[in-house]
Amino acid sequence: MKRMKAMTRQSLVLLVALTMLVVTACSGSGGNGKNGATNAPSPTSSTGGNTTEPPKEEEPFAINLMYNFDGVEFPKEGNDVQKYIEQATNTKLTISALPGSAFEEKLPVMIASGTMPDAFPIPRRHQKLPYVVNAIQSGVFWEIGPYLDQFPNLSKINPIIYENIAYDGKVYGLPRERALARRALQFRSDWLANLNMETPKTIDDFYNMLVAFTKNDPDKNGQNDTFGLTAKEVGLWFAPYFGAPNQWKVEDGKFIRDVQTEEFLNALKFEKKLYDEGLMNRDFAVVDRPQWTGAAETGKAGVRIDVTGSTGGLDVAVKENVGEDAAFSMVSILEGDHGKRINMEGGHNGFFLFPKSSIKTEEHLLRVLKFFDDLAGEEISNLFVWGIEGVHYEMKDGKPVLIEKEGVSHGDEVGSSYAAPLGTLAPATNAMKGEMSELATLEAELNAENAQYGIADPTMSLISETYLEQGAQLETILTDAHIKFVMGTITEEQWRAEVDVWLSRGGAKIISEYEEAYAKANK
Amino acid sequence: MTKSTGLGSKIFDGVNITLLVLFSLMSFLPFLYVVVSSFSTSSSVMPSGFSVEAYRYIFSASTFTKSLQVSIFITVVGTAFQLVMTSLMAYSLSHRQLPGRNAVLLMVLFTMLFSGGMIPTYFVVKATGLLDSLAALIIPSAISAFNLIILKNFFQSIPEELKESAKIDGSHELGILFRIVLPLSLPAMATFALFYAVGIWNQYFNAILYLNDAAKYPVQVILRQVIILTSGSIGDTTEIENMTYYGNSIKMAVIVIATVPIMIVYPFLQKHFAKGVMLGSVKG
Repeated sequence: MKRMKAMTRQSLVLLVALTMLVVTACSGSGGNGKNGATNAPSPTSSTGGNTTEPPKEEEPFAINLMYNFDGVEFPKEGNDVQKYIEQATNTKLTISALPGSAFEEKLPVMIASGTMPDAFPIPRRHQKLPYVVNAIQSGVFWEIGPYLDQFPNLSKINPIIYENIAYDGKVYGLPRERALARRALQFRSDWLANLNMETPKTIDDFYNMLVAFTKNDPDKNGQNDTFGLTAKEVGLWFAPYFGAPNQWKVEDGKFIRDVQTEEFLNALKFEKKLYDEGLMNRDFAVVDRPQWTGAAETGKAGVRIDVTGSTGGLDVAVKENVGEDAAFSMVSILEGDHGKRINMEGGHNGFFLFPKSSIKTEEHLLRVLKFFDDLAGEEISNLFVWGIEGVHYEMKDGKPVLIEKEGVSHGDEVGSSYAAPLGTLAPATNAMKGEMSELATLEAELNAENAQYGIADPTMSLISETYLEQGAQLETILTDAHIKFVMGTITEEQWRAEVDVWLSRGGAKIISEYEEAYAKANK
Repeated sequence: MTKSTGLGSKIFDGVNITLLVLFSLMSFLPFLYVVVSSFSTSSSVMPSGFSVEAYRYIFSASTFTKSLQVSIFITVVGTAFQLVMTSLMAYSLSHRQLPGRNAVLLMVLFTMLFSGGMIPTYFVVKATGLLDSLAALIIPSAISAFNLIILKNFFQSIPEELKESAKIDGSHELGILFRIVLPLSLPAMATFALFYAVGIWNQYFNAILYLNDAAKYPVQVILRQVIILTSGSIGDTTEIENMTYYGNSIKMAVIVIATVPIMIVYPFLQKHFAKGVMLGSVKG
């Protein structure tokens, strides 16, 4: 019995000890976490052990960042690329790189709780979500508009983009720039050469190309096994060529939705013609991205609609699948009766915001902005585009050339981990110009040309409550109607009736809300 | 288990068996599909071919292995911690003569009906310094009110005489708990261990909320990221050209790895469910 009692006591002690251990272990790591989260702007951060940077005119400035990372594996702390950035900008970075999906879900709580890093990006799709709008309206973030002209690189970003992300006409965000109008019709240039045809310039040229791709055996294999266009959505693609507005247009303060114009209907009729004549994929309403892009990659379809930046990848894929002779080229604008037109987007991949809770003073804000300005400068732009000299690229005849080596990947080590999430002014602006492939040159040309002929969506920075709440459901009324019209299950009259349904269910309310917001912003 | 020969009962058996077989197929086939697809080489809906490329790819990046380690760690430590905490409280509350017992029970019951909400809970976690530590995934949910009440009732159902006899032999209350009550409650403990383990293993949103360091994310967060990337609905925050494209088989392989470990736990606990509870402890 005595033994039993002793054992009980032993096990009791053990239990208490175990509990203590667990609790202290937890609180210990909790304490560390807290230090990391409330990182005050002091350069003597405990993680500084692995940088051997000599103090310059001032101590490296501590900056706490959080952003989305959509690559496979984030580089380890203290890697060469990050060291390079820290040295060039004289900063000490603490980076939380979270998987994109997790990051997006964390944002609302992070903002609501006030525990924010010095800067973090808002995804493009979250621009008008209530949690962002409310936080901005209640003054959680710095308005950076007035400071921008002090920064040579940040002020180089197209002012249209700053306007697109403004709230009530004020600029809070620092956009991650991308091309404003980047829609591209990607077509098989080798097929076009086989058929002795020229790059399409007008809608009619494009139509003729699709007909030839479908019926004239463009791949010269003697079989009728090709078709013209592989696509997913309907409506939006051809609308600008026929003169329809970019979603919305404003006339005398009145907002008009694209579906309310005859021009948009003409574009739909064009697509119906393509569908009826079998020039495009018949499953466009339900197909997934891998399938419809796959049709172009495997040499079944001759035309894909995507963005200017993806033609290079498509070209590589088709060469792998079909053979070295296969090649893709692209065109962005098809001229119609209304001249050269193309839809513009927001021109950004989300934008950085600067919370007042972690950036207390104006000097602090200016220093953080300077960091982003430095990132857009020549040195880091080169890093973002080319990598580190001797590791990712080498100079040949005064021009940088990427080094192809096993185990070294610019995309993983620089691209998705630093360049894509941190670049604001497009890095190509200030970086060295290397030998560019034909497609890359074409991409740059098209992006520049498109910006001239781009038409803006006037609702880009306007907010409609009804659209936020019911917009998605209302949009399906329209897209369903478009699909049915193209497939011929409803007539033109029935399509118009569906547009009226959209108007009565909330479309009219959205219009009046946009008009109100527009009047307020342009006072 | 006597064999009945009536026609009615035969029909009944037949219908029963058919329904059960159909039902088990319904549960099993989707899972089989996931497993088979994870070894498939084709990117279309119907799997074909065989390769372990998807698994090789997943384990080539340490992101996934690390998250798996985190998940296993928090599940093992968390379940043990939660079981200890729950049984300590349940045992105290199972004493009818405990002063203030009803008030405490009422408070526990209250949390089953009303909760603090996401952001207040976040503030509590932040204030207690748990933010950005794995403990934040364990301690805030250390005791589930529902499990606590069931366990308390279970402890109450253990004959008072057993505890008394231990007390007469000079045992301490904790001794009674760990040497008499808990061994007798193994089936209940096994059940709650399973509840807690599955709960922690499947934790997803808490991890996103409380952790800022992506290296500490459990496997479910990574799983979701992979699925989002595979379905092509990429967060537009990154240029599409820079995207890593995950094939269908990789998605399925990730699902297999994220679900199988917790399924393996079940058979080990199952034997406890079937065992008789208090065979031969008290006569009468």
